[in-house]
Amino acid sequence: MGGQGECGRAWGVYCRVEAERVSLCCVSQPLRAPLEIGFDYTRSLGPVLSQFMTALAGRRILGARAADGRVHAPPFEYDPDTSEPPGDLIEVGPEGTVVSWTWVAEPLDGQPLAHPFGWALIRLDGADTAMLHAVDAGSAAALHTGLRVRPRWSAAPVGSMRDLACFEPSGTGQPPDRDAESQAGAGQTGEPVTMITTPVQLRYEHTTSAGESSYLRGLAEGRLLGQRCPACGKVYIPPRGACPVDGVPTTDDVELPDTGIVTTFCVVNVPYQGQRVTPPYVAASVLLDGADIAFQHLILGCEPDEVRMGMRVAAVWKPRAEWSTSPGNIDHFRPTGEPDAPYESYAHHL
Amino acid sequence: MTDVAVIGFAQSPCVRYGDGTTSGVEMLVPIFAEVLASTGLTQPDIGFWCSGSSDYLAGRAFSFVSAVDAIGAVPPIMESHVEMDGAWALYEAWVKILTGAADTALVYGFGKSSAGLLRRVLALQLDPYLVAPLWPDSVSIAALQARLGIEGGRWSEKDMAEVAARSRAAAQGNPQAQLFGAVSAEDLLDQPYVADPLRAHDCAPVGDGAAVVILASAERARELCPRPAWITGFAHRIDSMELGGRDLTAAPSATAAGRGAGAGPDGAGPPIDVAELHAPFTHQELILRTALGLREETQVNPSGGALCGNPMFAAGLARIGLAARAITAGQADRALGHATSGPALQQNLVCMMEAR
Amino acid sequence: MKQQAAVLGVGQTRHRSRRADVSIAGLCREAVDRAVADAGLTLADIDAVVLGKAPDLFEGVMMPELYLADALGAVGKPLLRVHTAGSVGGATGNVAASLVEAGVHGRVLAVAFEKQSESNAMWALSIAPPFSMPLVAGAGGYFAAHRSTSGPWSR
Repeated sequence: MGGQGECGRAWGVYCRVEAERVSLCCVSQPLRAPLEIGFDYTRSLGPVLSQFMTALAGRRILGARAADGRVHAPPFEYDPDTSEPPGDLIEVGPEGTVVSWTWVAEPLDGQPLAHPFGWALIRLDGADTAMLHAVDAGSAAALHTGLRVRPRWSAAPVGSMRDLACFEPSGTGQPPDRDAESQAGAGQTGEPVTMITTPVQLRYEHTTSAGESSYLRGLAEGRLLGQRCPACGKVYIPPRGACPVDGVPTTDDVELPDTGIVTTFCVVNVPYQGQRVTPPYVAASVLLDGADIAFQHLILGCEPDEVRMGMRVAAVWKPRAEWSTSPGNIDHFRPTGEPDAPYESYAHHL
Repeated sequence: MTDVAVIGFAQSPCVRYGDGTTSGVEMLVPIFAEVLASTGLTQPDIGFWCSGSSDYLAGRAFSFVSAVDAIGAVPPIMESHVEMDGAWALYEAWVKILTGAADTALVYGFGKSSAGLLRRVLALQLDPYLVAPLWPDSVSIAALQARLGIEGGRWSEKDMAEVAARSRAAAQGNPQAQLFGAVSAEDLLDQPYVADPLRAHDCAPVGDGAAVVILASAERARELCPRPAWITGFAHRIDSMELGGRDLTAAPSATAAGRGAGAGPDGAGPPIDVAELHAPFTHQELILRTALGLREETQVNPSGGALCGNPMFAAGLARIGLAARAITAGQADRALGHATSGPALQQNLVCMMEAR
Repeated sequence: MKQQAAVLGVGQTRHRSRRADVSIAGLCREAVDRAVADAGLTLADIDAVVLGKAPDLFEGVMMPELYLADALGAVGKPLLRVHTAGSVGGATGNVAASLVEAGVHGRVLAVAFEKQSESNAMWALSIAPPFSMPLVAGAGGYFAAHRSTSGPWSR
């Protein structure tokens, strides 16, 4: 056979079709898709950090004196030497001195500034330790160890580390209205801050294994392709990187029908966020004919109390126009009305 | 105390973009086969399995569970996991053998850093209230540490470039290395900063990889390996999480771990022939040499070290495996493997091994 | 030769769906302080710490042992973090006991925590990677189906 596989490589290695076994003509290239995970974490502060964040909202910076006499700013919750919480917190700064720095030419999402800036360890006046923060110095040439810096406060403090928008070089060249702003903000809010919200958004590129890639491409064509373990002969759908029994890669595709049985099931009565169907409904382990491992799917087309172990089911596909390289092409499974599979035929799959 | 030895080691090639998935299975299957074959053991012979990896590299909770497919865990196995570099999983396995609960252990570590933006993800290791909300990336943190040493007269940018040049030259002999080649420190110093004062060569490459080590109790080790790497000391310590509160130009936890493992200061006692140090930044190798009191004669990172291949959560385990291999291959009599965790060398582990 | 390990003291926090009065470190210290007092010791008497914590995603802190080193009295000491998913509580105790049984350490502090109110556990457990089967039920629904498979089901 001539032509090319979708990976661009020419066919011609081999192409063989036997009975139910279909081998691919070329190595499946992985499928890729973005995976974004994000949550706005709500963090309770406890007594020490609550004082610190409340002060930040009032444009004051607090530190803690350790047992060895050193003042830590930001404060510690537990002394590194004695493990004890601090006593009363002490006001430090607001100005400080850069003790080390680096330059960020291309800021990342979430960092304090969207244009190039410096990170610095800043020892605030009155403190013995340094605080890590951003310095809006304009250029790396303007940043140096020993530079005097002062806070630039956020216009809308909420009681978080980001109320300190960044630091900037102290002294000449700063517009006077910044100082007026900071005086206006000082001591404004009296409410203690007890919680902060810290958004965490991460982006990954998910890639699929070779076996998964064939399975997903099969789904796009309305086909169900599992993979067989060369050692034990078990067929897995969805395919896994290795046979979980033998720890060897599964290599051969096996085409399976879209019919099977319910091995076991439960009736979901509990609502939760993102649920497709209003409870009660059945979540079942569906074992396709020819497969050795079941997957969980939704059973519709009968009352929940009619579902039973061994019940024969068939896939109900979404309209073809909605198909993609996804198991979501199957909407749910419905009972076929055929006689139930005898218990002995699936007992070893439970 | 029961003697325990390292009798096998294998690692996957360190590559920028691996073919496998974040489950690690594709990277692990071939190296499990390799390490088992090298010792003549089979899966059922292994008494305890332990791994190191991170959900945050995969972007999924419990991501390490999928890796168990690479084992073939039927019938059920005794298994554990640390959300740390595999070097700490090795420590847990060493303890398990010491209790007599197993006489062999297979330990693995893996990481597919290419799936996400590593230096940004690592910001989540920092104080969740005071530091992480600013998203300081791991390279910038290392740069702050590097500058403190340069301006404090501890090391120079040239010293750092020489570490990189020496490492890359050594890595030419390491088929699994991601970076290798002959390059001069002068040429490296001509390159621009990526995070002043760090240049690209000062930072470990981002990539995917996995490593595996087999441990055995004394009796089994003598049966299975002609020249086992006997563990004579194994210790780890951690420093304060306050970045601005500790001296970043030193690594007291590395010194303490070294002492705990009987590694140094390397004054009295037989010399350490080979030290594999897990230093993802050039200046960190310089810190660790001093912290561990290594003598000039000790060969540091003959593999090229993490600067030439740094699969997250496997690189520390790989250092120990490589140090062990120097002994089992007859190239060294006494070797040190080191692993680090956290920002700016916050946590350190040392494993001392000897031939007998 | 395996030594015997004994429990010297235990401590727990008040379990609530939300502990809004403490930070993550404060939550851990509440239990740690109670256990150490119950044992008649101080944190300085502890030789090593084992921290058990299932997915980092619940609290959004990667490798929280790094942040907790000071709070757990572990600065300058060995600190190990185990994560064996749902079995992590037991695994923490096992690993801590092993350290004593092996004769490596004399007194080991075993701590395990969750502060799920920082996020939403259902969210963290339901992150479906691309290309995966649609989610039909949570962990409860998955395991419930396997609960009574010991014999034929008849209606």
